[in-house]
Amino acid sequence: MFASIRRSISLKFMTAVMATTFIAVLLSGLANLAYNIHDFRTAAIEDVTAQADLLAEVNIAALEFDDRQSAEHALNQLGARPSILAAGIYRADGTVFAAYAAPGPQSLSAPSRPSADGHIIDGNDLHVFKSIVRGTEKLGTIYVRASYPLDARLERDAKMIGALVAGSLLIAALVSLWLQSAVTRPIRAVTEAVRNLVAQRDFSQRVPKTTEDETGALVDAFNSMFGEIGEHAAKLELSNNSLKHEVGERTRAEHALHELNASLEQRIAARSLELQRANEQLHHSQKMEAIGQLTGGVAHDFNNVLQVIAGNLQLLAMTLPDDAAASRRIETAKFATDRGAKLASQLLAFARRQPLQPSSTNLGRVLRDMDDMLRRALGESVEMETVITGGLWNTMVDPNQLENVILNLAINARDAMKGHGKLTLELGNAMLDEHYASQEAEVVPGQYIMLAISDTGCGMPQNVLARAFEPFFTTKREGEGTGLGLSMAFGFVKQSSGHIKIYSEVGSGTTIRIYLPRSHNAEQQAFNMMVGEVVGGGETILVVEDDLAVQATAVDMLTQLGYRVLRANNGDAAMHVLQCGERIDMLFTDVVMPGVVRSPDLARLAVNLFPEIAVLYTSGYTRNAIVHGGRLDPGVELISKPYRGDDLARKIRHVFANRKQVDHLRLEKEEAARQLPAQQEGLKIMVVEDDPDNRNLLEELLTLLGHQVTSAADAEEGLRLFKPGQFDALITDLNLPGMSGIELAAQLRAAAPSLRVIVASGAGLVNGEPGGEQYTSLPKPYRVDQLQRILMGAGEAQGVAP
Amino acid sequence: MKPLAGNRGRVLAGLLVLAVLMLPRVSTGQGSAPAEHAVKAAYLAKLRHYVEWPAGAELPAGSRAVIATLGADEVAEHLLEMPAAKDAAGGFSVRRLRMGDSLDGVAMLFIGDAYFSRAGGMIDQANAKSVLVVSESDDALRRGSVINFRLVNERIRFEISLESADKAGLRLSSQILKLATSVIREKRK
Repeated sequence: MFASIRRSISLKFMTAVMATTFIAVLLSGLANLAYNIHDFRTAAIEDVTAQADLLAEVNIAALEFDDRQSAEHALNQLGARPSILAAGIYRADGTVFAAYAAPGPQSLSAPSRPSADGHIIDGNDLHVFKSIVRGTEKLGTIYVRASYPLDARLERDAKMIGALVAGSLLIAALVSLWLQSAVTRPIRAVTEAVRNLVAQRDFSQRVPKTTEDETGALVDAFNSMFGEIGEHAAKLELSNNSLKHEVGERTRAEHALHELNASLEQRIAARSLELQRANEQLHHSQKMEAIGQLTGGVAHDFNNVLQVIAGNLQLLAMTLPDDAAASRRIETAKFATDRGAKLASQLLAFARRQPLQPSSTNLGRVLRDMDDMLRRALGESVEMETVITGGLWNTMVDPNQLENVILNLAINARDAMKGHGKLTLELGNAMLDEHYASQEAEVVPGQYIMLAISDTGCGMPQNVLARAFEPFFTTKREGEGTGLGLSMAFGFVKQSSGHIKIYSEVGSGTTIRIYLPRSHNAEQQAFNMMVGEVVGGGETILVVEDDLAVQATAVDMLTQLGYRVLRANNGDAAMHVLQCGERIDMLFTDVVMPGVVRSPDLARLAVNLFPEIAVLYTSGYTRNAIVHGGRLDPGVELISKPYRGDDLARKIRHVFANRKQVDHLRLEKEEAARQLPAQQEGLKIMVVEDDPDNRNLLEELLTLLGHQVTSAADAEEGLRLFKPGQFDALITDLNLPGMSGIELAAQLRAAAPSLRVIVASGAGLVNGEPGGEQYTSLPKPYRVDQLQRILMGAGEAQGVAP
Repeated sequence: MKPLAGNRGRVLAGLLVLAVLMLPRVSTGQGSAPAEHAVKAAYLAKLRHYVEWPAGAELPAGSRAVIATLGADEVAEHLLEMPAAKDAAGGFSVRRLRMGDSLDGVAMLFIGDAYFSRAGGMIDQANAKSVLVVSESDDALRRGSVINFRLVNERIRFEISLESADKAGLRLSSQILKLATSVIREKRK
């Protein structure tokens, strides 16, 4: 109760008003009552005393003259006043003179003796004694007894006070209600509004103003305060939000930092591992490089040695054709030199220094050609399966060396399978993406042809796998293998810009995957030096060789074949020979020689002196002088040491056959010059031919035919020289270093759609790209009139079938 | 007790007075006279309180009223014995008169029964000088007495003549009138 009063203004008001009213009314009532009682008493006493006086006055004569009858008569008059209960007159001696008693149930009489003057209140009765005197003489005493209804009076007054209090409280309640409505209610409205406001935190609310008094002023003050608080709250909210945001950002940043820190170690570990791996790869490739250099150097010298031995053995066999025993020994020795040569070539292959003659090759054909040989090599108990994907791309690779690699890997597989199992050869197109390229050393992402050779053999443990490509590392017993098979494959693939990878599972088998770069060129049927008739000739050949033993052997071989042979020990000597003016048909020179004049310079000089001269290089291994990126420069012919007499004979015939085409062209040129002295209207022609002889010849021929010729050595130069509208036709070789003739034609056609394109090729009719442009094909060797016809009229031109 | 009124009352009163007149003798003869004289003396002393004298006859302030007796020595003696007769102030003095004495300075004159019938001159003088005449004789009131003592039921009562009082210029208190056995009013003329 007290608590609720403490919290409520209206209850306080009510309580205060009621309490005040109650206390005031009660106090005044009580005071009034006290006064009333006193008054009543005084009045009663006065009244009764006056009555007594009156009685005394009236009866003094009766008393003096002892007229009792008269006195009693006078006293009986009191019957008219019922409040007088009794009365009496005493004589001066105290005896009763006359008495009166009011009629009633209780008969009251005057006391027998009078008391002293005064009044006595005895309960509800008032007794008054009064002396009757004259002067100083006491005549007697009068007694009056009257009812003194104090209780009734008190009761009446109490009732009155109660009624007053009740009425006052009622009025007070009404007043406090009015107060509540006038004062408390607006305050309560303000309080309620403030409470809502604080609870909802909506400071845009306003308290309705209902009065103009102090409460109204309070409401105004509250409203303006709310406005300010609202503004402050909004600002606070804003700053709070931004603070929260900032804190969130910081928390996120801290979190991120924390995570970063947590993962830092891990990342450091990962990075360290990566670095370690890269280091290992680097180390490995450096090791392979070093081994390569070593083996390359060894092989080079070894080849020279072998060359001498082999050459002399051949000569010996010629000089002793009839001695059977000698012939047998010579054969044995020759076999040994062949093995040595093979070994050396394998070493060179690993060192990536074997001279490769890559050509656009369809590996599917290569595998099919090898099928018989592989089955023989594997034996009957090894099952062999070849899976070739349709639409296989061509690849730029030396097919002969690739055959060697495949054969070596197949033999390895056979040995791993202990003669029983299954060998699977798969060919397919593959993409090596950047991710894969980043994981492996020396891999360029791009399109590849994948060759997979899988066996079901014993597989390789990890430590063997790590060293598998090292030369002379073998798990085979002494004498069973050279340990060069995989090394050679590795070197070959790397030299061919490819990639090789071994996947091996101990007990399950091994898969070796070889990736070779895709070629957009059509397949070329390469001249196979290993087969064909051994034919000699009567041409003059200049042999330049610093190793005299090798030189002698070569000279002897060539002489045996019927050639006329000149010799020189180095470049300088060869220059002298050339400058003597004697006609020389072929320059057969070692690539690496001591002396001022290097072999390419010598070749250029020879071509200058004898434009029709053929150049054939030979080398224990190839250097940058004639080999770029592991491949021979265009138009350069090379025979690797050690070579057999038969191989040399075939190679020389091959080189001369090429020269024949050039000679043929020259003849045609002269004929054309004779037949067509004046060409009516020339065409503007661009010639792109990597072979300088062919190019020069073609240029001269076309000029004679009345055309304006611009020539380029490769497609890139052709692109540079080409300007739309300046050329009517393009004659390009199909095979060019770098960009192919077809690609060049496509690019020029895009720039000048009306350009006529003639594609010359030694591989017969040209197969264009599927869905590609239609080009006129000119198969080598061609004749001038044929060329002229194609240039002049489209009618006889053969369309290239897509 | 109602005052008697009319002829009938007067007859009755006359009879009563007659009877009373007969009684003193009897009582005197029986030796009760001294008590009667003492009571009459006490009454005489008290009567002065109920009478208002005219302005000229008023007693000087502080002076003692003079009560004269004529033919009533016993009463005079009783008066003299009363304490009031000895008081210097507020009291009274007693004077015994003889027939023919002057009434100057006298406030009240009590005339004994034996002398009343002959005291006509004295009564006239008293009336002239506003002296209250008190008697104890039958029919005294008709002869000029103002207050006449009567013995009723062996108690001394008195009758009053307002006519006589008027003649003497005296006013009587109503209280004493109430106590009077009978009151003779003014003559109706």
